[in-house]
Amino acid sequence: MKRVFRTGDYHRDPGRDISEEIDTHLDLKIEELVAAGLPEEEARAEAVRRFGNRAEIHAEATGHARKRERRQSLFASAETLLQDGRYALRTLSRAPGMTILTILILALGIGANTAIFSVLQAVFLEPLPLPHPEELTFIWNRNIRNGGRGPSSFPNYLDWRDQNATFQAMGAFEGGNLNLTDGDEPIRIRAAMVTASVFDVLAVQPARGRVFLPEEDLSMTRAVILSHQLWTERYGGDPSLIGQTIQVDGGPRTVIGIMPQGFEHPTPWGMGDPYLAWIPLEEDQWIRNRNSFSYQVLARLRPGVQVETAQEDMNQLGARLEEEFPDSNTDNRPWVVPLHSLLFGEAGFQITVVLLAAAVVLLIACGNVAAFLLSRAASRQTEMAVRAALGAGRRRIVRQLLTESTVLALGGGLGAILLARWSLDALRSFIPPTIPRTGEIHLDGGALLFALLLSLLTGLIFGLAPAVSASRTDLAGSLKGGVGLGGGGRRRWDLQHVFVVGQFALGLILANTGLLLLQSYASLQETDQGFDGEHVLTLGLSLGGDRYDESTERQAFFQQLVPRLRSLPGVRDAGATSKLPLMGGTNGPVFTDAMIADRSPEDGILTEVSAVEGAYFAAMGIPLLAGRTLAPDDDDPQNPGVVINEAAAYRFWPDEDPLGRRFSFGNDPPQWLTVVGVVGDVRQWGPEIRPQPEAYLRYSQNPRTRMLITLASTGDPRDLIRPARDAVLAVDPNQPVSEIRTMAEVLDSQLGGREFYTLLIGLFSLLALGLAAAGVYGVISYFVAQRTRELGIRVAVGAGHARLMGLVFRRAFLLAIAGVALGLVGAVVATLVISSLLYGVSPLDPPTLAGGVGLLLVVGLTGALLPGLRATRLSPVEALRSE
Amino acid sequence: MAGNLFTGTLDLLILRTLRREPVHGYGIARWIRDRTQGVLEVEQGALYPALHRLNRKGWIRGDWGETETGRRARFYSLTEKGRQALQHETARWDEHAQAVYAVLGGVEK
Repeated sequence: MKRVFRTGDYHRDPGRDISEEIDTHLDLKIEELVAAGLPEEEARAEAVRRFGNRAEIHAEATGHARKRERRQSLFASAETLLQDGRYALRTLSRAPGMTILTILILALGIGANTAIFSVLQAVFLEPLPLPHPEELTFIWNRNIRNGGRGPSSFPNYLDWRDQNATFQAMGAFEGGNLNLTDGDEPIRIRAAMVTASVFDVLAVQPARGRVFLPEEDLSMTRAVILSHQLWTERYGGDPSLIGQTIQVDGGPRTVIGIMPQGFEHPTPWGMGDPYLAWIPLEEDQWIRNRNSFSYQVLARLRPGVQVETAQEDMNQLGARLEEEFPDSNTDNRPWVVPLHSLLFGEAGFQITVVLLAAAVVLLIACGNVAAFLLSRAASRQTEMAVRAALGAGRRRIVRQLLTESTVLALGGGLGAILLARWSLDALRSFIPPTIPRTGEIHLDGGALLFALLLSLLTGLIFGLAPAVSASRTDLAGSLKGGVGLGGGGRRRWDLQHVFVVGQFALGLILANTGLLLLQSYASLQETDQGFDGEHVLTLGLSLGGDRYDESTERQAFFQQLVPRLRSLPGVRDAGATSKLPLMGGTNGPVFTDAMIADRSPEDGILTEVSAVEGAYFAAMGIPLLAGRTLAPDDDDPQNPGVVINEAAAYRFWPDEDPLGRRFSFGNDPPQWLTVVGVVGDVRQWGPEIRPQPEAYLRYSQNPRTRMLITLASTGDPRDLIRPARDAVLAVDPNQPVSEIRTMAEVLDSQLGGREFYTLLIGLFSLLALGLAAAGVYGVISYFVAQRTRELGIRVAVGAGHARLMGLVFRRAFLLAIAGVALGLVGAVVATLVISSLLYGVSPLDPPTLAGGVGLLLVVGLTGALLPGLRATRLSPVEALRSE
Repeated sequence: MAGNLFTGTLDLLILRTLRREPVHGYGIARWIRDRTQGVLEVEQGALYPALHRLNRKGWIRGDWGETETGRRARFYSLTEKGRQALQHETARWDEHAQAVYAVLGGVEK
């Protein structure tokens, strides 16, 4: 029996095959029966009868056959995929330059997105390591009249805790600092004074020992809980520390517990400076005062309760308290803020903007990749046509081209992963302190998957159009018409133009945004902050414990310390202050003599207050504008003197000389302070926030325990650190010094965040412009190549170089203009989105927009430059010959 | 059909039939009938499902070809896997048969 070659079992319908088999069988049987002597009719009947139920047999056999087919075709597909993949690698490696460039472009685009997304993920999107973090909230006190928000008072907290219906636990705490004075090196650490219920809210078990009991609130229990970090670093992880006493703020406290490793106590300002120890909230003169707003309230919602519901409940509660306690609670309401929204805050917004910029770059890069794939497809039209003629189905061709673009994209994806890895390492080293949890930044699996999916998607989408258009080539037409003149040529050309126009539109959006942010940064740098940013060193210290219980004792300390500091070599001026510029404020209402005389029923003017000692103004570089600085005479309780800043002078007495005028911080009865001098403004709340009115009191009038020493140096302020510390220890050997910073560092840390995202977005803008230039270059090059004949003719009839360049530039210009026009709306929308990040420049700034447009036009013309030059160098003879 | 064949036995017979050369479906039925001198006549109802089942298992392969009389028919042949299966199944069947005989051997002929 003969056999014919096997033409793939793959695409035949098994049912039909089996029918045919059965028919053949029957025929052969009939033949046999006829040969044995039966007449044909009878033979047929007999054969059919003997065969049995044909339909059943057919069905069963078909069932088996179909299952086999499915399995085989699966293997076949896998095999062809592999084949296509190998072929793709081969063809791609034949054009190594463009392939590598494309992979690089993709890697940059996808890698940037992956890296930024990883940061966003680790820092902001990952939930906190606390049980059910979505239930955690802060409850702030908000003044519904002037919108001010801040901590609550303790009696208010107690009422919130006892009268709410939507929270399962609530606690209050106050952040502060403690001196740990045992051991060789006294240190000062951030610590929280908490109610026992804070630990209920956080629902965290201590690693060792226990947490505070409710009865220990407001008692004088001398207990302390340490953080894991503090325990290991300062006490060597000694397990027997529980039950022992350590010296805290000059007195003994028993260590009753150690918190687990990695535990972080949430604060309303993100996770900046972690608390290293916890002590019970203590009874003091302010805690029963409903008017003393110093306590942060943490709360945990009941399971399933929405924030909005809780807010409504608390609003009603707040209204009731307002009625009951009008002196303290007028216009005050509790404000429920979910923890995660606090953490996200400004820094999260900034990172999201950077991510958006990276996404725009990726889109632009995809334009380049698409153009590359289109041109490849076009130049291989002949090859495709031949393959189609040889019998490769259209589907096969499309599939093979798609495989090519997918291989390319996967290459880009791998490159992206490497790039992301590397750039995350780089990012970690210069990430600003405004971004919390930086230790947790890593190339996370989600981002990786995201990168790979993105690259696959890019390959498929941007390979599809070229693949489909290439598969539609007409063999005869393309073979006759030569490379690139087939039916797909024109379509490909238009598509590339569309891509370039799109790139320019996106480029305008990014360029405009980048320019606005750069201007913001520059104008912030130029802003006079009001103090000397170069020569000032600050050191913080806290006079705690029994030794400094009396205010006279504290004053004595500073009176001894400041002259010592002044006499150090390298110190030009020495002083002390209760708070530094840019680092937040302390404020209170002020009533001027005019206001009290008028008996006007207003609230006081909110004014910052600082207590200063020594030559603070000179040390900080704050200029004296009128009158004099504070002197010991101003301690006179009958006639205390005060210095105000320029903003206060304008605010209190707009058209009058402030010297000699008086004001008071309360009005019942007024405690008059007389203005003896006016100094320059500093920005209390941050480098971007306007200076507030401020009053400077002598230390003796406000002898706080925590002060910051300020030293103006003649040389490098950091040289003074050691001598200053020694001077402090000379006055009190148990007095630790902490928070050592130069004002330059303070300024940097405030500006650092802005610098970070401005730099990144600027970088992305440059990248985008480069990619757009490459896109234009590609399109114009193709244009020149296409029109070689025509251009050759022009040269032959005498067109000069300028004319030719003009032609080329005109095309590029039109493309750029179209893109810019398209992108204008997007650019405007983008600036509105980032308007909160701008400083010193308004979002809709026509000069900047014009600048962006101009930049893009330059990019367009630059991209067209080389092809234009090439056009001028065309030899007419060659051009006419080319086809 | 005379005799009650288990499905497994039919598979075995088909494999044996194909040992030397490819045969089409009708030819397989004929060969078995001839070899057993009419004792075993394979029901077509069982044959084609069996053939396609063996095909699915990968023990036999079906290719289209031409008979001597010029008809188009599907010819089946043993695959390597099928060859091994034939050996294995034959041994098993032998064993099984010996066991049955051991029991029946007690009956007088």
